[in-house]
Amino acid sequence: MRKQFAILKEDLMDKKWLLMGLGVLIGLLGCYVLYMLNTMDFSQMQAYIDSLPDSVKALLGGQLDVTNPYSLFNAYFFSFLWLYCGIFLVYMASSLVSQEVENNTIDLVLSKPVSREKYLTGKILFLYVFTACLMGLIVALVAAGMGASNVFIEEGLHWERLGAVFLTSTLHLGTSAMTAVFFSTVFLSTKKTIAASIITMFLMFFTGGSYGTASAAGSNPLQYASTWFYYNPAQYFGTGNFGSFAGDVAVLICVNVGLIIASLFVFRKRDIPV
Amino acid sequence: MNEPIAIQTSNLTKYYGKNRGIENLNLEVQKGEIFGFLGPNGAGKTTTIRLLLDLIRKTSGEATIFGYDTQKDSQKIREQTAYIPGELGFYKDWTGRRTLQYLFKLYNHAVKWTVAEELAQTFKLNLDKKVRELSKGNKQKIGAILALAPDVDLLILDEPTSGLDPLVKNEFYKALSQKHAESGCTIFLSSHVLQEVEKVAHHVSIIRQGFLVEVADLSQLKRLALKHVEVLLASPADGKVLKEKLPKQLTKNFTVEGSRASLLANREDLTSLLSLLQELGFRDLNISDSTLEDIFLEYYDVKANGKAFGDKKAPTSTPNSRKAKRRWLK
Repeated sequence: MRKQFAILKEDLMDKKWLLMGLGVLIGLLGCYVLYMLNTMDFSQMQAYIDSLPDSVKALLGGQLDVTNPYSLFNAYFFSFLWLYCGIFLVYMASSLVSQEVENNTIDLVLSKPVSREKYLTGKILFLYVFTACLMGLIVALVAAGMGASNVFIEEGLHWERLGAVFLTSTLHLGTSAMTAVFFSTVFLSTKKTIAASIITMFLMFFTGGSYGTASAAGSNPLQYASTWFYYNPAQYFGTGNFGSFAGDVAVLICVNVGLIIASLFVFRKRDIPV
Repeated sequence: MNEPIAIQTSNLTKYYGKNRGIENLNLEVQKGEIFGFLGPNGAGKTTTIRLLLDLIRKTSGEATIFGYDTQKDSQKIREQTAYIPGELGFYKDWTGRRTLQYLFKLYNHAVKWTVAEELAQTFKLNLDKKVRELSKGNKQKIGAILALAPDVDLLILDEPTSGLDPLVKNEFYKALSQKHAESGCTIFLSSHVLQEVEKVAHHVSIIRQGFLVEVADLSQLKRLALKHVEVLLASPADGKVLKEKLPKQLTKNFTVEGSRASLLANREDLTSLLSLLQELGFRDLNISDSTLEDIFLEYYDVKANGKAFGDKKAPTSTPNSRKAKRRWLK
């Protein structure tokens, strides 16, 4: 593992300010949303929701309980994490290997006694550490904001919900990053990898995300193939329902592992172009 | 590791789709020698090197380094190998020091940092400058340190002096010769400049359009080296006189246009040529190194459209090709 850690360390050194900047920025955005919730009149919002047509209520059904600050915070913040962090992570993961090929730096590394598997696992390890640290920073700032929020104190501070969001978000963002790593081993080109990864990400969102599944009234069989179907912070964080948590985590872990194996398989067969 | 042969390839072939990289390459490099691998751009030098380092995968054939298969045992090989790529890429925001320390850490054995520092001093390189602030020559110096600092048995250098000024080139070859003398390592040196390789190499092989066309030792190599002579004669009429008086072997590539004449001459013929020019009188004279293409045209009857040895298919050498025919010796 020494060589993987050497690769991980150098990548982390390169991206440390980016990690801290992004983590603090998104965390502070979460704190701002928490602050907004403190000033909201929940009874008026409930009256507004009640006035909506039944079809619109059905679309929001189960996703938005406006009397509950956890649910509302999730709708405003955690539901959009894939936009805040996901696209950035996909961009970073896409360029991690292919940019080394394009800049010819990979030749310097792979001409040393480092196997392709070790090189790629070093990069993958970095992506998970980066994602976990990013989510850690965001969750820590959100936790601090929740601890200082009267609305959440009155509702009760459920740290286990935040822990569940941390774990599933890290795994879910990990699947997006691993998809990008897989495409980068296929294309060895940053532009093609970013395009393929972003398209895949949006396809997954529309087939398995809450909007996709709600609009298809749960009858869409493609939803099971989407990682969004197994990412349910609305349940764990919004309502404290952990019924699907273990299953979701297991599926997300399997998807991550599958993508890692596929990436390693493709990468070991590839010619490294000049 | 007790094998007397450092690098051996047998019918090594690489195709990129339908495009030929190299074909049926048979090469043998003895342990402890400096082996020049010559060829014009696009001849297949880099393909061969990348196959040896397992950066690309062969289509067919075999290749071993110190008896190890280059694909199956590539990590064992790379533990004993230092490499400078032809297209040297760097992490642009890193300093030279960080780059070297990171890459040296990837060896299983420790690389003495004092050696790297000494080399940096020799090459007058500031290791604390970011790579993006360095000139191409200075970047190439980092590559030179990458190859020369580790204690390894094999150096594979792909056009290591491209972009270096003549003074630094000399420093580099001096350091390379010193490294070879001290460690007895094998050096596989690729270049497209014959005159550079002949300064240090014990043997050379010449590759063209994916085929090996020649393997020669140092004395044979020196005979291969041609000089391109351009002369401005006193009058146009002297061109005809010069052509008549020229030794037969020099008339083949002799051209005259007005009072300007040019020809390719072997080093051994230079003395007689200069005497002749002195006798005739001339206004200006320029003698420069010839290119590999000139050598191919002179010795291998290469046509403009490319095929070696007339219209026949280019020959493939065998491991015994050092004894193979050398048309230019006849």
